[in-house]
Amino acid sequence: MDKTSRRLALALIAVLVLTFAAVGLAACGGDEAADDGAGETAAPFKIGVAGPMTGQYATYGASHKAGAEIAMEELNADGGVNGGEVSIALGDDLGDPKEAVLVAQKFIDDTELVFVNGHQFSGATIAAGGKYQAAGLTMITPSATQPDITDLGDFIWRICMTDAVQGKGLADYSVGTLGLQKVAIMYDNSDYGRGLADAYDEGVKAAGGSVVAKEQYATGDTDFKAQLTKIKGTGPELIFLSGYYPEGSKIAQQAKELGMDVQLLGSDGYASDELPKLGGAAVEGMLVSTFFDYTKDDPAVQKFVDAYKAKYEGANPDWFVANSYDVIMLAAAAAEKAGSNDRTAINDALAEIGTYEGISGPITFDENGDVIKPLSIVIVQDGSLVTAPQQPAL
Amino acid sequence: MNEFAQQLVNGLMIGCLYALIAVGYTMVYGIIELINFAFGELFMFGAFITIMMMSESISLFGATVGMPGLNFFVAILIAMAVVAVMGVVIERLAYRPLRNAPRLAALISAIGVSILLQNVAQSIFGSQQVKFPDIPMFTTAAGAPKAFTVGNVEITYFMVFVVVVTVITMLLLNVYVKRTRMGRAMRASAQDKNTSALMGVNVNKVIALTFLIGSAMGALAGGLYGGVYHAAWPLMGFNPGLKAFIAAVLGGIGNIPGAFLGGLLLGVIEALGSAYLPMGSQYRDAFAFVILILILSFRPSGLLGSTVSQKA
Repeated sequence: MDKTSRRLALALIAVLVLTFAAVGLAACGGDEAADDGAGETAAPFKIGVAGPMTGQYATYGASHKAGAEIAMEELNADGGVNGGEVSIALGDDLGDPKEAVLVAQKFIDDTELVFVNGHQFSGATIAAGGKYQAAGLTMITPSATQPDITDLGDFIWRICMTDAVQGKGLADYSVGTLGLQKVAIMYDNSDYGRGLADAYDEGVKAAGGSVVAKEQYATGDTDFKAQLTKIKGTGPELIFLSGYYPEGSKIAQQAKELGMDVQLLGSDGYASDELPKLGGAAVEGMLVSTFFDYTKDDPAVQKFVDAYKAKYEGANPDWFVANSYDVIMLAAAAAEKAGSNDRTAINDALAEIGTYEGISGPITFDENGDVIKPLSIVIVQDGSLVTAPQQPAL
Repeated sequence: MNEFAQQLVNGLMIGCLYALIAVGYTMVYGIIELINFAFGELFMFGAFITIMMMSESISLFGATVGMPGLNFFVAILIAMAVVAVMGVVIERLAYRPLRNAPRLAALISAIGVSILLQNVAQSIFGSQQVKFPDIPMFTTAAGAPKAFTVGNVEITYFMVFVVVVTVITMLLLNVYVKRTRMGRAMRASAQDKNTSALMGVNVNKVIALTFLIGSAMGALAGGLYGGVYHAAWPLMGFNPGLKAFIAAVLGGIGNIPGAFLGGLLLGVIEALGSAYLPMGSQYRDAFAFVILILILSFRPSGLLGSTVSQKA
């Protein structure tokens, strides 16, 4: 290498570093809502909202942020929490454990911040959770389902079902309720996809069914025909898809292109209006596990759905939006119960909250900080997700 | 056996798409020895513009805008034209000023253009995936893909269409570069720009034309890829762009039949590798890079490439 090209190589590195720094700053500086206006005496209720706000998983971050904003607006309209104004600090973890740790440190160092609503992905949540636990800052994850997360300690909570519970529930549903004995599994090889697939696998065997094929793929893949062709040869009655809808809609389409006509059952990562939008005719009749039924006849649910529709051009909120909203409303209820916007007081109050009626269903914590909640199944019908005729036996 | 045949068909299908993008890479590299990293983004714009032209309405910058709702074939031609112009503009603004600068400068400029285009696409089309409209000719009234079976192997009509388009395009381009006056000017400029200029070749025009054709190929590949996978998204170009680059290197960079062969081989290796190697599907992207390393170590000129002459 001559001198010029070495200098240019350095310049390239500098440009890349600056680009990443700029992206990071933009993400961090984004939405720190101003604290001016409200009374100066009451302590503010500032919430850290962490998830993939940019990058390839930005759709999940967008849902997360939307739910948090609706909760914030509703709380502020009612005079804040303990008289303090509610504000949001966004943390962009890109769904990546390395970034999540940086976000966690930023939140911990912000003394006004009272608790963290996040993170969304299991890998990121585990990485960041250790830091929150050590610093004594409450973290409530709305969506990270990997079983070990709540073992991190008493400051770590979750309001969605673990992969283990969901996997077993769906296995019983496939074999027991639907009566399909011969199943195949296709999973996203992430903490989430694999954990759920393993729980389902064990559950099916325990329920007396058989797993004829178990194939994996990487998040972001677009071609699944190699795996589907292998699955086709084993002739399953149902394929359980453990992962997220962007890949899932393509899996369904490619299964049809391979001439497969088999019942599909998707994990909660499929429960989004985007699934029928992207999947079209190929996902009609697909069953999906969900944590939030937006058609539920409940004034609190409908108020939330209306607020979301008003903000987002009539779109229906997915469960990521609902759970993000529930996390904040739950923490606000805990703070009101404690009568203080103090980090430790909120965490103590959460332990004694009993059963909180969230829009995603009744939320009760077990001694581990995990939620006890019912599972529901929706079906894709004429391009929308509606309550499936066959629900899991309780 | 049937399963193997199906896997082979699956691989050839992906291979055709890689081959189409690889041609764009290889033409541009052949003439100015620049790896046009923005190529994956031109491919992505090809897919998005095809969708735009086919839709009745689409969300741009978050607002719903009416669209012409054209037929797929017209839409993809428009996308090719628009993206071809984009390619020429990029060459004019980001590469030509750096043509006599050290090669690394142009490479950095290419990376910059790539990041810029990705972000532009995110702000225009949003970060979500956008559904590719069903193409009536290849879809039944119920929305299922039209297909036929040979033995137990399922082949959709759209796959056949993609293969035919790829083969015809390759043949035409090869004839164009080998047999026409402009093609000869391209090959001359690729060998030595200064001497070609002295012989009366308008090198700037030849390079612009190369970008025009190469970018149109990228848009064609993008439109077809969108149709095959029923979607477009702002980051869709990155991975196929890398694969196409590897396909071009595999076949011998700068060589059009080489890019075609490299693309097909890469597609088949990926499909068979992920189907038959233990845990193969988890490493499907790794196969391409293993091939890249092997080729660079043992046959740097690629399968069909002539020995690289060490200029400068």
